[in-house]
Amino acid sequence: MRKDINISQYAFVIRQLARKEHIKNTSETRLMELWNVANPLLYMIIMTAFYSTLFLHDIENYPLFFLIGIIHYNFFNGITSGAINSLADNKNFLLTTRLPNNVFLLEKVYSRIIYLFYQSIALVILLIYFRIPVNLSLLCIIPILLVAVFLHTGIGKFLAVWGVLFPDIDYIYSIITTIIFFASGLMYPLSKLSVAARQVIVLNPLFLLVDMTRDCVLYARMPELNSMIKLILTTAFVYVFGTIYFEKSKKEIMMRL
Amino acid sequence: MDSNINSMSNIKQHFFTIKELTAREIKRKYARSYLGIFWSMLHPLLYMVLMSMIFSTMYGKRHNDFALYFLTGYLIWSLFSNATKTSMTALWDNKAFFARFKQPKYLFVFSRIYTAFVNFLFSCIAYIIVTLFFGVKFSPSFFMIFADVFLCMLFIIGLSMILSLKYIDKRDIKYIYTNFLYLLIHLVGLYYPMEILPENVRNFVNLIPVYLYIKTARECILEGVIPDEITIISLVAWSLGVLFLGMIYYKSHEEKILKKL
Repeated sequence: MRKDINISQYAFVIRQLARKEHIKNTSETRLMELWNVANPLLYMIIMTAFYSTLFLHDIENYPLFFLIGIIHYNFFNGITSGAINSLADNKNFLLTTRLPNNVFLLEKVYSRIIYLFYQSIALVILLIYFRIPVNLSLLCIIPILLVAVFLHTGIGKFLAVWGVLFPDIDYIYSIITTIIFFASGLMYPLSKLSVAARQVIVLNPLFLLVDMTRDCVLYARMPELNSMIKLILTTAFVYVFGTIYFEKSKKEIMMRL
Repeated sequence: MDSNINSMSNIKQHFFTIKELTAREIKRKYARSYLGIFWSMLHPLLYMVLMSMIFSTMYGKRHNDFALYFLTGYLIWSLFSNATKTSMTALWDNKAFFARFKQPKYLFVFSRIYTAFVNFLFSCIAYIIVTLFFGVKFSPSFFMIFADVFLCMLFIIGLSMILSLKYIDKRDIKYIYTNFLYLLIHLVGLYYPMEILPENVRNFVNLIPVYLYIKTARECILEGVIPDEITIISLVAWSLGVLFLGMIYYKSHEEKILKKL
């Protein structure tokens, strides 16, 4: 019984924090809350317009090919980079209230999910505009995104603890995310890459996410079961150990803050 | 005579204030950091080395100097984008101090620009290290870079004065400007050689001032050529034009907009 109450309080706090963030960002602007929708849309429009004009390779529908990759990358980057400072920046809240530590991480996840949602709307519009045929395999996007959320949250948990324990990790991490950007096969299909590069990239869970999404959204085919299994295993591992590490480090964090 | 001496000491005071404001920002930024200000140089160096490795393997022997092409563009671009983005919110962020701050308010804007410039200088150190490693041939056209950066700074100052006031007036400007930068970063061909763009787009891009600063830097350092007269005239015209526009706009709108606070 008690646990139930905690969960709904949890959700309430998270939504409130996210709202506070949104309002702080959009207060006193002309468009106000509309910017939460307009921003991701504008981003998509700019990217599509640009990549449509390029004579880049002979890949069909390159803008969409690339956009799907970039959306996943931004989702990953937004959550994990935001996680690093989620504890350190909110020192006051954490020390003076009885909020559980991961509230701020979850708030970040929640806002990025909303941002992703609006980007998806733009993506759907683009699918229609480019007349991409779709079938039921499109529904596979739901489990894919679900796995993505858990994966990124798991990584975020490690990073949130390290953000407190190891200073300067945000600089190091920004270098790492740059490496990941180029190691996720976002820009070229696997067939265009060297054998060596291919072997490295298929180990990257972010690539698996992107590849499976492209399969079910762009090419109207079922994503590879193999990839899904690898992903689920990786995600489970990361999430479970992330949570355990997070809980175990509570004392140390409190001391450091 | 007296007023001259007064304005000299005023200017000295202004510089001092700018330096103090910048020092405060830098201290705050590296408060929790272990390596501290050393990161200002290490981070760009790491990034440049990483991108060089990536682009060298991606484009291989064909475009050996693509890495340098990228780094040069990146250097100038980050100066421009960081300076304008941070200075846009300078007035708004410091509005609490306005009542007690006796000196001109635009010093807050200048201090942010100065901070970005200091970071740029640190990045230059990293840039020089990397270009030396790549064995770029020195040529007298290198000195053109000083003029290029100087003109770019004038442009930045003018633009920032307009943006910082507009931001107080309409907070939407931040979103509009961020998206505008997204568009711009693609048009100036940071990550792609310009050949990829179709002809008409390239012609359009040649008119964009930020692109001109980047193109000049690339030409001076990588190709060892001084830009042609048209480019030089455009550069100077844009820099002085935007600077004066910014100052005039600021002088005429400062009171009206600050009243809104």
